[in-house]
Amino acid sequence: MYTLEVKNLSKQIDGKQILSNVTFKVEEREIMALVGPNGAGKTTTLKCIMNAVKKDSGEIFIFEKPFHPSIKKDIAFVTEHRKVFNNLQLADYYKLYKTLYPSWDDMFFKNFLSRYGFNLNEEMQKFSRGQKTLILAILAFSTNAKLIILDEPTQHLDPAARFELIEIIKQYVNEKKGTILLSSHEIFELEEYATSFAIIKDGKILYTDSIDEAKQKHRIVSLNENIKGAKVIAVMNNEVLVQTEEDIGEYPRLNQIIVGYLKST
Amino acid sequence: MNEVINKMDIYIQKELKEKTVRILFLTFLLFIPVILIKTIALLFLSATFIVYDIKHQNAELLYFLPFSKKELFLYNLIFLSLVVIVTSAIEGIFLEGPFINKFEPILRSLILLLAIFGLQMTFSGFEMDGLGWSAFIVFLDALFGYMGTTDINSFAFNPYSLISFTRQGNLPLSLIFSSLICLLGFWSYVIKGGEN
Repeated sequence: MYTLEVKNLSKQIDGKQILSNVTFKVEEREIMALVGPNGAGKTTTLKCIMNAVKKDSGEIFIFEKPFHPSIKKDIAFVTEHRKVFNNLQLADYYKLYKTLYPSWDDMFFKNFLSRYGFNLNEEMQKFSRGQKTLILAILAFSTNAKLIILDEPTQHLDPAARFELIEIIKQYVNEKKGTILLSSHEIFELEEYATSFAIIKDGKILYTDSIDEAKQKHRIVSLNENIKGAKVIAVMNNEVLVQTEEDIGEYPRLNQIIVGYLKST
Repeated sequence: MNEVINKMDIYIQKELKEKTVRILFLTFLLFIPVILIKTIALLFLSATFIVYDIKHQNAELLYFLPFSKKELFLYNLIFLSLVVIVTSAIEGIFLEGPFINKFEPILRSLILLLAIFGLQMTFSGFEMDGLGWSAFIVFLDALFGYMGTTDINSFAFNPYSLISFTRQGNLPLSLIFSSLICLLGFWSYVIKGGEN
């Protein structure tokens, strides 16, 4: 079953084509990473999924149904810039989320609150960017939503908090059977927790697959190696990333596949 | 029903906490029974909620939460209507004449609100400055509405004065006109905004 299906999504902003026929699927209990450089269209894609930005064309199915605002109570979202409502305290946010999400997990939220010593009476805008990232992520995971969308979740986090958040993401999928869609620049850490990925550049999806399948289908070979029958993706220093069924060269790491595709265009 | 009330309640609480001083000051101005002051106060008060958030790109924060555009439109309209009813009711208490006359200030203020809010949501839906453009249209409405007379038999009869939401020459007609403007706002923000 697919939790999310994006088909031929296109969007133009001020005459510039931001997304062009973006197509990918996220299966239930998957951690899908949308990777690409700045301005590739990652955030716009995520906003279109939530209907925060109106799409020009294409289709979006969430829980196998076309988007309807009522399904938003089953989706939690963490924005990239960690923008928060002015003058609202953490206690107000707690009340807001608790009211809006029917499956709210109070115990989970309070455990994290005490572990990090966050003060409920503190104004949200006074927290550091890293603290806001962690708080907004914890609020999102406490909703028990079926789909959690995280825009650059590990950005601005110190190593300990980053490790903790990655563990929460994995736990959420394994124990709570949730699905996660995230965007990230951090291609070196993705292999640690993501199960599938989509590479996006200039508003187009270059490649999408599960991480395991992608590694099976690609090889890193040296420049002088015979690559007959293989599809050359990119030349990277003295090596070549190829797509092949043949058992040649070495299996690539995820970051090599991503860099290869990003260099290929 | 409970869920709807809880959602509206939490949204209004958030707005009040976020924009306390501005809301209190503009609500206070609404108690003054002078049409010009009321119009200006309503223009700014109506632009304080979702219109402000759209202009300053804060509305996205609401769209990422389980709020639909339809709900946000209605919560704004309901809350503003309540503020207008309460502030105008006090003016009505001091009016002499039959009991039904006491409702006239409420109706007049609601007509003004429906038009102003509708205009602001219409322009916001087209990604234009809701406050600025609605102020311009209100000025035009007053300009054309206050020309001539509302007396149909007079030589200087101005038909627009009957439906004008500032002059309100004919209450039922101006109510219909401002309700249509409000519906236009709903279409622009909700339907055109991608929600059916």
